[in-house]
This record gives sequence, C-alpha cells and structure tokens, in this order.
Amino acid sequence: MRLQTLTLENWRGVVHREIEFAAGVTVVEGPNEIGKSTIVEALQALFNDLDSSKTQRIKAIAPVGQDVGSSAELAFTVGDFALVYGKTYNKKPTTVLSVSGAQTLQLSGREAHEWVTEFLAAQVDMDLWRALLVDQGDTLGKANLQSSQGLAKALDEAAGHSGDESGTDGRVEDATLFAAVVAEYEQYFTLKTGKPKALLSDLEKRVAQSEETLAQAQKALQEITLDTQEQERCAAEVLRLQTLLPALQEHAQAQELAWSELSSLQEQQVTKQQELASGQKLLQALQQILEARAALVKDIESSKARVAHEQELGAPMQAKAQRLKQQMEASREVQGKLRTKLAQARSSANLAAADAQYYVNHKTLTELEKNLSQLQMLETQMSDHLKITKGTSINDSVVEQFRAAETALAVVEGRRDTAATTFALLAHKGLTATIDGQEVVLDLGERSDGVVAKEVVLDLLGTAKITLTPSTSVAEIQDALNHAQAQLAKLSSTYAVAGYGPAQQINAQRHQAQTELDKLSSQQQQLLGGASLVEIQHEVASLRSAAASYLEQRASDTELPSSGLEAQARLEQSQQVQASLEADLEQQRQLEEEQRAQYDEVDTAYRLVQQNLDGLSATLVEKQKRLAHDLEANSDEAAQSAMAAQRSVVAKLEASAAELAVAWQAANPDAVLELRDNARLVSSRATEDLAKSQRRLDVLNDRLQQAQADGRFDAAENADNSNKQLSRELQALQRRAEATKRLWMCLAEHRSRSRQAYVEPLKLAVEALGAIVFGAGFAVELDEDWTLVSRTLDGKTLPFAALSIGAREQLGILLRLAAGQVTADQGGVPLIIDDALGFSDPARLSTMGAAIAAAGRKSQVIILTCTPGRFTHVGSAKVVVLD
Amino acid sequence: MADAPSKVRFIHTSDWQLGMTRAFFSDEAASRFSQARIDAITQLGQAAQEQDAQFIVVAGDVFESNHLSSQILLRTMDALVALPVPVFLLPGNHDPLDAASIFLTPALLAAPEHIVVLRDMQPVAVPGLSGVEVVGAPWRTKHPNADLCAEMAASLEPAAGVVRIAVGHGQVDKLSPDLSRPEIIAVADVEKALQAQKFHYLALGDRHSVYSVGDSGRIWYSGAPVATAFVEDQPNHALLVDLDGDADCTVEPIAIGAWEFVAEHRTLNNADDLEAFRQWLEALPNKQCHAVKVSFTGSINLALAAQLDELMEGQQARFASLRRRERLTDLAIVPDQLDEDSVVLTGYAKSAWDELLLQASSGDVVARDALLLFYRLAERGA
Repeated sequence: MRLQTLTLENWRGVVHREIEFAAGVTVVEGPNEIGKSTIVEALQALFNDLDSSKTQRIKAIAPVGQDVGSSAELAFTVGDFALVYGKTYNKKPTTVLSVSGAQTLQLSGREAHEWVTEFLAAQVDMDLWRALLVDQGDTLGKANLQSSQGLAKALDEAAGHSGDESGTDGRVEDATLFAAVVAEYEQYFTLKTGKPKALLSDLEKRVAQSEETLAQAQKALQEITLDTQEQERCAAEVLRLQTLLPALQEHAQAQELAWSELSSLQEQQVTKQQELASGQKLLQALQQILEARAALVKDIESSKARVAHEQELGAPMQAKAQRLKQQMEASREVQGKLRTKLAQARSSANLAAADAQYYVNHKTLTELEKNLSQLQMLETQMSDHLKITKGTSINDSVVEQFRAAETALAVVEGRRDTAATTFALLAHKGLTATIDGQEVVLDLGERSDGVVAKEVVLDLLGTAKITLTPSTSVAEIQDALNHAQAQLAKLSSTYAVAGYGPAQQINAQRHQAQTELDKLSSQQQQLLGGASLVEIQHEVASLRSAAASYLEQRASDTELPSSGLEAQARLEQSQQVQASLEADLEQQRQLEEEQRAQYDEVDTAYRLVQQNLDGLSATLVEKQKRLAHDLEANSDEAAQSAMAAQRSVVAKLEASAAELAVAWQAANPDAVLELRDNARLVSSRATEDLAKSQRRLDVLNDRLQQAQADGRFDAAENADNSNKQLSRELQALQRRAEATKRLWMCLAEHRSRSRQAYVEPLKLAVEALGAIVFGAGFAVELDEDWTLVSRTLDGKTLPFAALSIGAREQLGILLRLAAGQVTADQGGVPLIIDDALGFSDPARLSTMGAAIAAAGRKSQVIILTCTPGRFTHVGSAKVVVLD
Repeated sequence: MADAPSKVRFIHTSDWQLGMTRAFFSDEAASRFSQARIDAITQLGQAAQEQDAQFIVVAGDVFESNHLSSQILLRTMDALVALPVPVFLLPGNHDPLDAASIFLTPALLAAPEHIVVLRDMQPVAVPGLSGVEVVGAPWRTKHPNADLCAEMAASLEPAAGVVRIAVGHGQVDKLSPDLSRPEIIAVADVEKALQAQKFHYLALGDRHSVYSVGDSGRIWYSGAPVATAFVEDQPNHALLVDLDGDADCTVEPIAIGAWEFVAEHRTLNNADDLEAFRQWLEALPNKQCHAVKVSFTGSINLALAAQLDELMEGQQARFASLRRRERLTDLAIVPDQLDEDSVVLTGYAKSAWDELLLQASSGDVVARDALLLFYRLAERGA
C-alpha cells in the first residue's frame, strides 16, 4: 500500500489541506497545533470508523464553533488498484469510494466502507500497518510484529524455508494449522501448565467412581452367593443330623435301661444301709439310757457331799457374826454415857462464855461513859470559841480592805495638805466662832488652822461671816478625800468597826478562837472514834440495858464470877472438859464402825453359803425323785435285756448290707454310668446341633428370601458394563490426548526453532541500517517474537532496557524500517513515524537520516515532525511544510 | 406296553437367560436387546400355536441369575402367563433352585397352572393332556456334585403307557470331557435310559447353539432363542419336536430371534480393501440388531487410516454395536507420497511432520496417532 494524497477539510483546526506523499520518504513539518498529528488521526478514522460514528474520538474532530462536517479523502494504491476514499463525519456524513486500475468501482455509504475494509483485510497486512505505526508515546522497542502475517511471510521467504514450489493449492497456512493444533491440545490440557483438563480428569473420576460402585455391587452379590453356599451346607447338616438323631436317641435309651436295672440293686443297698443305720441308732439309744442312769446315781452322791460341805462351812461364820453384834451394842452404850456428860460440859462452857462476855461489855460501857462526859465538856468549850468566830465577819481580807482604805485616805489627805488653801484664825481675844457651823472657841492667842478644801464658812459670830472658797484643784483633791473617807466609812459601817486598828484586833481574836476550836475538834474526833455522839449515846444505853437484862435473866445456881478475869478462867476450864469428852466419844464411834464392818463381811459370806446350800439341797431332792421315777418305769435288768436283743438285730443287718455291696461292685456300675452319661451327651448335643443348624438355616432362608428378585445381579451387571464403557472411553480419550500432546509438543518445538530462524533476515536488515547509524561494530539480538533483546556496539553488549531513551528510540525506528524493508516485496505498508528522535543529538540525527533515506528506497516512509530541520539529513526526503 | 403312547408335538427351547446384559451395547441397544429376549417368549407361543405344538419345555437357564430386578421377573411373568400352551421351566446353573432361587419368589410360586416349574425329579403330567409326562433334573445348587441326568434316570421306572420327555441342563461328556466336574452329563448313561424307555426324549439346555447329541436323535440342545454371543452356531432357534413314543422322533429347528453377533476379520492394504469392507458393512441386514466386532491386519496410508476411522465412527450409530477388536488388530499405518500430495505442509509444520513420521516408523503408536491427527487437521485446514 502506498499513500499518495491526503486532503482534509474542516478537520479540527485545519480548514483545508492537501498533502502529497512521496513514494519514498516524506517529511511533514509543522507545529503541533497546525494539525500534523491529525494526519494519523484522519488515516485511522478512514480505515476504521463509519461516517455515522458518534464516538468521542470522532466528535472531537469537529472544528470549534463551526457547524460543518469534517472531511478526509485519501488517494492510495494497493498493487494494481488505485483508490480514492473519502469520508465526511459529524455533519452530513458521507462515504465515497472510487476504484480504478485492476478494477473500476464507484461506491458510497456503508457499502463503500465495507468494501474497503474487506479489501484491505485481504490485500494489505493491516497487522503490520498497525505494528509499524509509531505514535508518540508508543513503546518503541516492541513493535507488535509477531501477529503480522506479511512479515512472517516475508521472513519465511527470506529465510528460504518456503515449500511453496508447486503452487498454493492445498498449501496449509502454518498459523492456521498451529492454531488448530493448539485448539485440539487445549481440549485436553491447559496451555500454560500442561495439566489435564476437566474432560480427562472428570472421566478419570467417573471411572474411579464406577469401579467403586462395581465393587459394592459385586460385594452385595457375593454376599448372596456366600449365603447360598452356607445355606446349602447348613441344609445338608440338618439333613444329616435329622437322619442320625433317632439312632443316637435309641442308643441313649438302651444305656438308660441298663443303668436303671443296675440302679434297683443300688436302691436295695441304700434301703439296707438305712435299716442298719436306724438299728444302730436304737442300740445307741439304749446304751445311752443306761449310761444316763449311772451318771444320775453318781451325781446324787456328789450332791450330798457338797451339801454336807456347805453346812460345815456355814456354822463358824454364824457364831462369829453373833459375837460381833454383841460388841457393837456395848460400844453404843458407852457412847450414850459420854454424850450425856458432853451435854453438861457444853452447858457450863456456854455460861462461862456469857459471863466473860458480860465482863467485856461492862468494861466497854465504863469507857464509853467516860468518853461521853469528856465530849460534853468539849462541846461547851467549843461553843465559847464558836461564839467568837461566828460573832464577827472580819477576817484577814476585811482587815486588808481597812488597811487599804486608810492608806488611801492618808495619801489624799497628804495631797490636800500640801496643795490646799489654809487659813489660820488667831484669836486676839477670846472668841467664839463657827467654822462650817462647828463652834470653835478660841482663847487669846490661840489659833485655829484650817484647810480650804471646800467652801468653808467662817462665821465670826456677829462680827463677820467669811466664806472661803477653794480654788478648783483643791476642790478636786477634796473630792478624792471625800471619796476615800466615804470608802472607809462604808467599811466601818459594814463591819461595825472603827477602822483598821480595831479590825486588826478583832481578827486576831478570831484567829485565836479558831485555833482553840480546831484543837478541841481534834480531841472530839478522837473520842468519837468515827461514830457520832448520838450513836455513842445509843450504844451506852444499849450496853446498860443488856447488862441489866443479863444479870436479871442469868441462872442463879452458879454464882457470877467476881471479875472478868475470873470469868475468863472459868470459860477456859469448861472448854477443856468439853474437848476431852468429844475425843472420847469419837473414839467409841470409830470402834463401833470397825465392828460393824467385820460383822457385815461375815454375815454376807454366811448368807452366800446358806443360798448354795438351799440350791444344792433342792437339786438333790429333784434328782433323787427322778432316779426313783426312772427305776420304777424301767428297771436296770429290763434295760440290759433290751440292749442285748438290739445288738443281735444290728449284727444281722450288717451282714446283709455287706452282701449287697459285693453284688454292686460285681455289676461294674461306673462303666455303666459312664456309658449312659456319654449316650445322653451325644444325643443332646446332636439335638442342640440340629436346633442350631435349623435356626441358622431359618435365618439364611429368611435372608435369601429377602434377597429374591432384589436386582443385585442387575446392579452388578450394570455397574460392570458401565465401568467397562467408561474405561474404554477413558482409554480412547487418553490415547487421543496423548497423540494430541505429542503433536502439539512436536509442532511447538519446530515452530519455535523455525521462528528463531525467521528472525535472522530481520536482524540482518536491522544491522544493515544500524551500521549506517552506529558504525561497523553494530549488532542486535532479537527474540523469537521479534522483540529487541540487546544491542552490541564495538564488542559491548547491553540489554535493550539498559540503553538510553535516545538509543532505544533509534533502535525502535530501525526495527520498523527494517520490517518495512523486508515486507516491501510483499506489497508492504507505509511506515509512519510521528514526532520521533527528539532525544537524538545532531550527529546521530545525521546518520539516522541516512538510514531512513536508505529504507525509503524500498518502502514508503512518512515522518511527522514539529521540529524543522530534525530530518534535514534524510537526503531523499520530500519535505511538506504545514503553516 | 399296555397303551401305545400318543403322538406328541412340543417346542424345546433353553437358555433364555433373561436379564443378561452386554457391556458393548449402548443403553439404547441394551434396552432393545433385553426386550427382544422377553419378546422371544411371545414368539415361541406364536410358533407353538402356528405349529400346533402342545407345550413348551425350557431346558434350564430361564433367567440369567437368581438375583434379577423385579422388572425383568414381572415382565417375564407377563409373557409366560400369556402363553397359549403349557410351559415347563427347568432351573439351570444360572438360576438353580437354591434357597435364593427366583423360582421361589411369590410370582412363580403362585403362577397359573400352565406354568410348571420342574422342582424335583418326579414326572408330571402336561396340564390338559393325557399320556404325556415331563420329568426334569433341576439344578438345586450352582455346584452339584453329581450327574443330575443320571440321577434322574436312576430314579425313573420305564415309562409305561405314557410319552415321557426328560429335561436336563449342563454340558455333556462327549463335548466337554472333564473328570474333575461331577455334574457333566454322561451321554452313555442317558442313552441307556432311553433304551430302557425311561424317557423318550431328552431336552437339553446350556449350549447356545442347536446341537444333536449322540446317535439316538433323541438328545438335543435347542440353542438360545435369541443370540447372546459371538461364538454361537445357529442361535436364534428353538426345536419343534415330534415324538411318537419310541417309534419315531423328528426334530426341526425353527427360527425365533433376529439378533446377530458377528465377529469379522479384514485385511486392509489399499483403498479397494477399504471399499470392500465398507460394502460388506453396508450389506449387513437389520443393522440395529447387529453387534459387529472387526479386527484388521495389513498396511495402509494415513489417508486410508483416516477414512477407516471415519467409516467406523460414522457407521456406529446404525448398529447395536460396531467396534474394532484392538487385541486382534495389527494394522500398520504408513504415510506415503499420497499423503504428502493431499496435504501440503511447509516450514516448521513440515519439519514437525517429518519428525513424527520418523517416530511412527519405529513403531511408536502415540506418534502414529499424532500423525493421524496432524493429517486430519491439515487436511481440514487445506
């Protein structure tokens, strides 16, 4: 495909533009906004979008603010076809196509679009077109070349692998075949991991399940088979036992008969033994009767001896008890006499004690009376002193108050005397005058002095009356003097005493009286001894009364002692007598106690002996009675005779029993019994076995009946068939899968090898162009999918990713140029490079220009750039400047 | 003999083996096969009516097993009940009269009078027919420890005034001499019993092909009424027996079933051979009742191998079963120029093809299969 002319109208900012492309290199220069990139946009739209498209991308091409359609028209050739293809978008959408050359055609609308789409798909390697389109920002290093059929075809041819020598009929497109093999492989395995897919694994699972089902079904069927076999064995056993049992039972009966015959002999023997035993028992009884009688006689004798012995033992005990009883009575008599004497002695002692007490009381009374008299005297004395102390209220404090008042007065008077106006009345003749109304009689020459502390009226009777008024300060002193006097007067009045001196005197008298009083009170307290006077008086009265009463009541047969001392002597004497008598009495009582103890001991022993004696006697009597009765019933002779007869009977029985024992032994009873027991066991075991087998047979029959027509065979058969079918299916599937796997692996391996070989021409083309740019030491490595892996320059290899952006971009363009070159002979597609090599320095731009020019000789290259001069070095380029 | 035995005509059949299945049938074919064998009972009834046969004896193996589903039992009973003549059923080795026997199920215990199970060796009269007795030697266990026919013969008195048909089951010593198997029928003993007129005909079962035992012409295997296996001679038959006491006995096979089991072997070396095989398949009648297994030998190219696969796969649906006997097949698949002409490969595909071809030529079966698949895919893509 070669682009010839592109015409744009109202396309974004472009009002109208027509660009002619060279057959080789065309450089389109112009700033971005002029619409350089819209060339690529217009080509994409023409080839891909319907005129009616309403996508954002299409809407965006409408010029701003204008309500017009945007048109693009491309004139291009494909082989011998010349096409003019135009579309208007957004407003009045139209599509027109004019084809000439190999075919002449005029189409419009969708029909035109579809024709072109189909035509391009058939004639042009659109994958390569897309792969070679270097847009700004595209990844430069990896042009998506591997999907390009054209490139593959070209490389294939270049690599010299074509088998297409006999025309194209029946020729298989490798990719189609490979895809078919992959599709086949993917039916069974996953492409990535090679693991079996559900188709295989599910069937494997189903086979395993069917095997499980089969095993179960066969087991169920086998159970019936085993049951049937057991049932047959069991039935045979039942039959055998049923046949055998009657004979066994007959034999057992015969053995029973033999034993029963023998057992009558045994019975006789037993009976005889029983008879013998009872005969022996009777004999024994008779013997016992005689023995018992002899024992009784002996017993009676023994009892008599014991009675006599007890009697001998009791007599001395009785005598001793009697003796002790008499002694006790004598002792009690002595005690009675002693008690009488003791009573008299106690009476005398009581009297003596009362008398002694009398004298003690008497002495107390005398002392109390004396004290009472003293107390009364003290009372009188104390009342005198009390009169003094109680008669005045003056005490130390009052005296002190007087002293203070007088001192104060003296002080004020002193002050007055020194400060006040004084006057002196000197009588030139005898005169009588009054001073403040107080008559003063003066003789010639006599003088009366005064102090004018206050207004003083000096009345010279009949002569003159002089009023003396003190000055103000004198008056104040006078006031103080008056006050002090008033205080003193008040005290005197209160305590009825003239002043300090008399008060002191009275207080001294009061102190003296108090001292006396205290002394007397102390004596009084001593005499009272803690009691009150009244109590003492009461006691005196009481003692007097008691003494009188005692004397009056006292028995008169003994004379009252003459004194307290005598009374005490008498008391002591009578007490000694009493103590002596009490000791005697105690001695007698102890003697009696001892005698009583002895008596009790002897008496108890005696009573015990007496009791024994009573019992023995009674027993003896009873035994004697019994013996008598016994003898009366059966005399000794009769008993002896009966015993002899019984002895003879027993002897006969013993002989007879011995005979039977001999006969029994002769019959071999152990063997007969053994045979009978065994026959019994055999018969019963056979019966049991039969019953057991019968029961088992019933169970099995029942079980087998249950299993009738329950379809176990069908189930097993179905399971078996199903398992076989599935196994066959699996085997076939596995076989197909294996074949597919082999095919895929083989094909993939060869494909990989082949592609590696195909890479070679592309690599050579890249290196040829690269040599122009980088020099002779340039080489590249491409991987299987035609991606740049590394670059080698002057022996130094760097991974593609490690190269600078500029170098990567240059290599990317070289790769595309090379791809364009190698596909040129297959028709090829234009290589459009939009704004590239921005990272290349001028020197590099120069060599790149040469390489682009070289590529342009074989294929069409269109370079879009906004940098004028960047591609100056592309010698053969046609430059289109947009403005 | 007091009375001359009356003439009697009956049908002798055996080995119905109802409930038998075949693993190589699809579910659909298996259902039809099962039903066909129950339908054979009705066909036997129709044959009896058409041929004026007075009764039918089934010489053992009525059922495939004692442990069938009630479905088969009940459908069989329906067919038996509908029979127009009495039928005598003998328990055989597949359905012995053991404790779990199918003949002890309520359906058979309470069967109508004309269905007679030969439960012991006592002769029984044919219902509604005088002067004719049937006596059987039933199997009571899968492993009898005696020749049951001999036992039966020993228990019989000579048939006086009656025609007596004996029914037995098992292999005969003339065909399968095996001293270790006590149940094998001693033909000489049976023949002696025939001579002693203890019975006049012995109807045998077990062998699925029609077969006359000995020289008396009175001991026969009837074969199965419907084919059951690939190894049978003249299956799909029953025997129509005319018996005139000890005077005359004629036995005529009559066709019953329509199923065929065919084991075929073919040699394939070229397209003509394949075509001949195709025509042979095409010519087989009643394909839906045919079970065919084929083995191949020879040497063919990939194109023919692919055609053979297509033929086998394509025809399968027409048959009850069509399959390749892998065990007996020895078919070399050798690519030749023809293959390369029909499929043009280039580049890596060609080199892969060459490698697989090399592997296949050394007997690598997987490589051969891979090559065949490759061929098909390439052919399809071309």
